[in-house]
Amino acid sequence: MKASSPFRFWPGAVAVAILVAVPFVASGYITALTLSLLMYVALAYGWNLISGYTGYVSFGQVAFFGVGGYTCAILAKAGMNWLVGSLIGGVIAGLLAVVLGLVMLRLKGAYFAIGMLGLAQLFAAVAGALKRVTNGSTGIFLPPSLSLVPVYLALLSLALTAVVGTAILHRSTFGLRLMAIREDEEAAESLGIHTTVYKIIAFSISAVVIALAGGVMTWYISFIDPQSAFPAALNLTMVIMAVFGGPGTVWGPLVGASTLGIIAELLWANYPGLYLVIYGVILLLIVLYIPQGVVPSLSKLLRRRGAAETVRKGRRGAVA
Amino acid sequence: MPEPLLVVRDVEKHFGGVHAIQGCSFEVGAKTITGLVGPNGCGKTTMFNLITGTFRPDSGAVIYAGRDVTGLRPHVMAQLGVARTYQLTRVFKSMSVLQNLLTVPFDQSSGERKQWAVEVLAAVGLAEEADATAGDLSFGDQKLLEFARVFMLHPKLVLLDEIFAGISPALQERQMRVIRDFRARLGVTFLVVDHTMRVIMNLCQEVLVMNHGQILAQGAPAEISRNDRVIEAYLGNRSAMKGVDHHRD
Repeated sequence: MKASSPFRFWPGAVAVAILVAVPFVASGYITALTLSLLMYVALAYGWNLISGYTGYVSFGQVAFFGVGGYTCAILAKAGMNWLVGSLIGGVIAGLLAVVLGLVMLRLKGAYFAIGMLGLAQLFAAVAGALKRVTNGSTGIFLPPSLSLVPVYLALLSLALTAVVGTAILHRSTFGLRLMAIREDEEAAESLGIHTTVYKIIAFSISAVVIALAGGVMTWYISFIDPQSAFPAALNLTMVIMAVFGGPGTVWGPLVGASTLGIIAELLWANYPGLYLVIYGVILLLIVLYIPQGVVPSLSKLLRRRGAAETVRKGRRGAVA
Repeated sequence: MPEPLLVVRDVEKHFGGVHAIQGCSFEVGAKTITGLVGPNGCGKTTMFNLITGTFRPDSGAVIYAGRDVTGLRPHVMAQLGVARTYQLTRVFKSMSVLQNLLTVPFDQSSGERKQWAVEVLAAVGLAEEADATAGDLSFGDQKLLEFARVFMLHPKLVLLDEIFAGISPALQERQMRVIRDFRARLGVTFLVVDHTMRVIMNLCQEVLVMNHGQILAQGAPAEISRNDRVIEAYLGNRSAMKGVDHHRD
């Protein structure tokens, strides 16, 4: 079988090699652009786990972005290494998600989506109010990072882990059970799946991924305040990217985050006045014509091509 | 009657002012195929929900394999070997047929799981559809898939809620064959809700008749079909039953 040949990993290996080389060979602009794309990739995969695979569409995963960001900022301010601070932020967000998940994951559909939106706003309000820890709306200033490279490599590792982890999840029984919950939670439970436990695990891993991105980005920006920690627009962006590419698929978030990230950048650079208008029109067209996302639509198209090819070959064979 | 696998004792269930189950008691013998019939709204599906833990009884007890399981959660009941289908089919639509089956069970390696799934699919006649998307299957095949999925759990007790409704006689025959086969080979016990009398009469050793949330009668199919109270509860009179019976088939 082709799938087991060693050549299968070559395109991936080449892509990784190029990505590792970027901060060393490319311009500062390209490096910064790729860096932000990597952040979007990580966020879209984090969202994809709880919302794409498990079916709990969240408009507030950005809450964990802020938790990671603040943890990193506070610990870095106290003299800790930023990477360690970010990792601790991930752990805290993961544990927090377990507790919050017990409550929030009882909600379904639109109620969960809106509940999470409210939760993210609540987090922002709390961050503003806890002045002694967070410095309130003034925010926390960190020493500017001198080199992009460590931040870039941290985000690259996070994005890669998210992609590979999702690929493994997709083929695992754990992944199948998450999908079963998305498709029909009651039926999944009737098959013996402890749905609460599975949902909380997915929610928690999603929170860890997003919090890690938040921590690293905060060090990169060297500043955090309630608005930059919990930007509602960022939550919308991760939803749009994952949905554009294909939620609940392995490659969807990667395709969505990189395509839309680049389109947004090009539009912003060339048509700053019309940027949001054109971006909006593109999104509308996508939702109208390929509502399942790019990846499922493409693979369906390819399968149909493949089937047609097989039929044609079969006919030729029959004639011969 | 053989040793009971399931005992329902004095179970009551209210929904607001509706007294859905009113002191219901019955037994299901181990390794039997028992029918549960009754007019629409008499509480058959509610009874399934009470047995599988979807609802908790207001009072009374459910005893399964000698153990009081009253009010245990659905996933726990499933892990104890109680599997069910739903009146309105609940397959995992965007997943493949095979993936639908591979979500369970818990105590097997993925290799064993796959081997068992392939066997089960072959038994119900869906082997060729293994890679098809469940949502693309015909209504009848979706019913077959849900029916197949319950056997992944290696269940001891299977509750079937109208799996024969709205599908062709040929498929009904196939399902009956599978039920008989799993009972004979693996000793699975079945409790079958259906309105298709031809199937119930053919398949079951014992039939329970419910009306207004109570057990109205219990006995062998032949006795039940002669029971005047049953006929009255169902239809009002004997001639009408023949008509409806024919229509349902």
